[in-house]
Amino acid sequence: MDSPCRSPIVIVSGLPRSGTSLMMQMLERGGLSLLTDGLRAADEDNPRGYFELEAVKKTREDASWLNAASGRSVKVIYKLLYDLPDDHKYRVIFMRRGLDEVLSSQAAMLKRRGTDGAALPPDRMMRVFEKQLGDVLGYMSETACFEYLEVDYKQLIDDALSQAKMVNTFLGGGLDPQKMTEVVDADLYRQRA
Amino acid sequence: MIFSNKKKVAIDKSLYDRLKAVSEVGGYSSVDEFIVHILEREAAQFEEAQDEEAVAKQLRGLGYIE
Amino acid sequence: MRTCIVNEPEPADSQRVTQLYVGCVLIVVLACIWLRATASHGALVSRLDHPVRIAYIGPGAGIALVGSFLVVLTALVSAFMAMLTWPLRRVWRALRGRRALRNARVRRVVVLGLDGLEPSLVEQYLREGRLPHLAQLQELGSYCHLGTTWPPLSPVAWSSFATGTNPGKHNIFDFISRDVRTYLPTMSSVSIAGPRRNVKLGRYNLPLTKPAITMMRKSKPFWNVLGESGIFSAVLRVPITFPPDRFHGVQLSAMCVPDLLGTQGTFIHYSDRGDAGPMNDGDLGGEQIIVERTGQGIRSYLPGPTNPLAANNETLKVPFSVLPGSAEGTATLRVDGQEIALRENFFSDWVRFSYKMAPGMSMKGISRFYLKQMNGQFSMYSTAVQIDPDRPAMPISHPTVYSSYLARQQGPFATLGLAEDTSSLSDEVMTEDAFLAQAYGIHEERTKMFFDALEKVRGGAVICVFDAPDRIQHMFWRFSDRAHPALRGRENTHRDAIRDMYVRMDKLVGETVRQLGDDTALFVMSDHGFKSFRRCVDLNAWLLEKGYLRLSGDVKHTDESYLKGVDWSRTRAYALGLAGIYINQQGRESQGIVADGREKDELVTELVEQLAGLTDPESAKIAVRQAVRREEVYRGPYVDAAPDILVGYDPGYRVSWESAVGKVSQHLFADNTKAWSGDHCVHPETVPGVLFSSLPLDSTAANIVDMGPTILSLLGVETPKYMDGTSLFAQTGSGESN
Repeated sequence: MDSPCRSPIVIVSGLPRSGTSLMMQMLERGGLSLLTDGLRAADEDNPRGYFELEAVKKTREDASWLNAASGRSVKVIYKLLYDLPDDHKYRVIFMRRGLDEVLSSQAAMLKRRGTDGAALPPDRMMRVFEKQLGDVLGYMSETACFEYLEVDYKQLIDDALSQAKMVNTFLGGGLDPQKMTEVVDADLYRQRA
Repeated sequence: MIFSNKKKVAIDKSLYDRLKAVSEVGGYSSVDEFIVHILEREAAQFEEAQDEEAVAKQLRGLGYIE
Repeated sequence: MRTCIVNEPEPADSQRVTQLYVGCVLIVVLACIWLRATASHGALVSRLDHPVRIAYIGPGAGIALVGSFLVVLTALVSAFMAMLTWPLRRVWRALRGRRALRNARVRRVVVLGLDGLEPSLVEQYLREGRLPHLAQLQELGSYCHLGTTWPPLSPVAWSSFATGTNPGKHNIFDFISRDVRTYLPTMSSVSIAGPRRNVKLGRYNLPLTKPAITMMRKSKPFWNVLGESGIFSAVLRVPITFPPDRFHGVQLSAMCVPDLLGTQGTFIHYSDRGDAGPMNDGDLGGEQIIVERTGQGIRSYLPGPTNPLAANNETLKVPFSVLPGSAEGTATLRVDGQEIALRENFFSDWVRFSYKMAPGMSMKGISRFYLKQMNGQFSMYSTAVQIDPDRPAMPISHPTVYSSYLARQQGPFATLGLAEDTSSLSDEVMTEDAFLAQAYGIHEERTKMFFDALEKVRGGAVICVFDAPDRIQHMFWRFSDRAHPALRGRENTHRDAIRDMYVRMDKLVGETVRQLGDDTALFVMSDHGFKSFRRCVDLNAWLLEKGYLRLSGDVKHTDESYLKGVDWSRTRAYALGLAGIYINQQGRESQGIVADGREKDELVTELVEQLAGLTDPESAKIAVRQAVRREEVYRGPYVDAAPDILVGYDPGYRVSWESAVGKVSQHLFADNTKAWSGDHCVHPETVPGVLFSSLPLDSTAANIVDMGPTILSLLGVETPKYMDGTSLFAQTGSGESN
């Protein structure tokens, strides 16, 4: 049911620090156009940049950015997937990473930013994240406008080509998996558990 | 006794009587068992809600949501 | 105002003043004792986070310690306080007791529990004249089948016995349940949380709070109800009484009491060759330790928990040496300043020893040793290192000093919940005869404490459970079943082991009857029956085949335990434990995908229909007689904790070893070739237990939930409304209501 000017919107999602920026880079290198504003500059936590769109955070109030998103890729953090209106079609690449690694990476980033985190013990943080991940995947399973593919971060680093091919297939072909692997650099994989 | 790990809580008799009636229907062996069960569930839900709020704070701190 | 957490009644003011004074004096003493006592906590707590060895397809546990010194002190202080308030409480109880006994039909009720006694065998042996005492009981009173629980497992059935309720009200559905966040197994009957605060003192680490041990079995045992009416009960080794209940009576804890390593029983095999480490795939407990040869003898150690006081987590050890004796086949064991005579192919007596934690602080343990071979290749077996009942590292009885009392009466005895070491027989570290010697040794210990209670408790209830029938039938059924896969290619060396066991139990009944007078009602019962376990059914493999379960990487089977290989995003149902199947439910399981409500309902219906009549292709026999949704067989506040679907296998079949621990094997059906060849986790209608009564019953449509109300009514106490069972004696019209 895709009209020529309403190709599915590619969403890269997941928990913060689960490899979403890396996936955005891979898609760009593979030939997909990104929808970003470059407002959040590259820093120590993401030396190559964040590839984000600030307007995504205000989707609930103003979803007009979606009009420019057809056939392009945009990063939407897992919590904000609920805000996406159902009159578009979304192909979601959902990044998965071990929660202990995610928490370490988030903690490091909070420290660098000098902002407060959750002040919860790790096991309770994990419990909330696990539940929220379960909820959002369940939500997408039941909502017709979503198709999703889970990509494991560690597998991506260890075997980028096969993961790139999987993503390409999911998105209907048209990308160059070999080029996608060029951005994967094992040095970026810090906080390894 | 000295090393008991229980605490006493005092409630109105009228509330106690209401709880007693409900606990009997529910199949609990005593009002205490019923009270402990619902308190454990409520506490878990509160903790869950508090924890979710704390996680939202973390996401804000990371700059991913408003 | 009503107080809703019940404590002891408040003493009068003058007594309070005296207690205050005494309290001050004690505080100084307490401060010193506390430091010593809490020192014993906790390192075993470091094992709490891991699903530790599951020694019985079931529970693994961390252990929490209360220093034995503190245990004795607590008992002394409690006794002192009790003494001060004794007159008041005595009068109060006497008044209530007298009121109850006015309506009582008998002065005392005795329940002799023979775990797993199978009706078809009892009836066969009765016909053959082998069970004269049970025959006499049947003639004077009644005999009938005793309906059991879904599933027919000891923790579930005995909990229903204790509380008079179905599992939906007492919350025990299996040995294990699963954590909905991690899908890992947890022990269903007890939860242990470690000490939360520690203080460092040099190279020592002192826990400041006690670990919290919580009983997960809910509702209220009938002995508590008796106690509220002032009637005393002795409850010995009834499963799921750890931590011990608090009531007017005495109790010795049973199933799930851990060993000192915090497991449900890790035996040790000492050898001078081979590899050290776990003896099997880690699910059933045994460890091999390689000994050091010292000329003619050997040197080794008894492993203990990590030292709770040492900051470096060192493992506690008790060294020992074994030297050959002058006579052939004898040896001397030197441990902890003692010399113990050993003889090849015999068990030693219980040996007591101490693990030194810090100057002046130690943890007490006991073991029995079985020397297999001294010269040539050294080989020796040790039971799991168990809590010393005389100076228990944690409370295993109520009151706390009761286990010490029993130890002083009869010497040390096995305290481990699952004391008969079936794993060592499975692993062929022990021979069949050694296993029987161990099982009957424990049986004798149990008999002594039972007869002691019979002597001392002349009014009220005395309940004692004997586990030998259950364990012996589990391990020896293959010798009674000519077609059993475990017997193939083996000589049938123990054809009569089970029959001999029944005869021995009958003798116990005879000895018991001899000690009772006319004022006592006797029940001899079992919690479930027994069947051959010839074929395994891998439920997870079935779920995988039908598309309800998916493994990561889409593989077709996995050796990873505890469901670790499962792809939760595509799994709708999974099996863990012995009872049945859980739905991977959204909002409940952390990675659940099946929505509650209609979707789940339809899925459960589908599974129930597909499972019923599942056939074994090899024999064309039906393996699954029936599958039921939990709401059909449970009602009560805790039904949500139960598996969503209960699977009732036909006799001969049971869930596979792999599926029970969350693995997925290659085969849906397979032979059971293990020594554990008899079982009872099948459809409950096929494995009722037995019930003999010295008084003729008015109703023989008996179920295990009826035992509590029956005992209450005999002792003149009204059955509480929450109990599902009813008395097997007709109402006498003296004010009781059911």
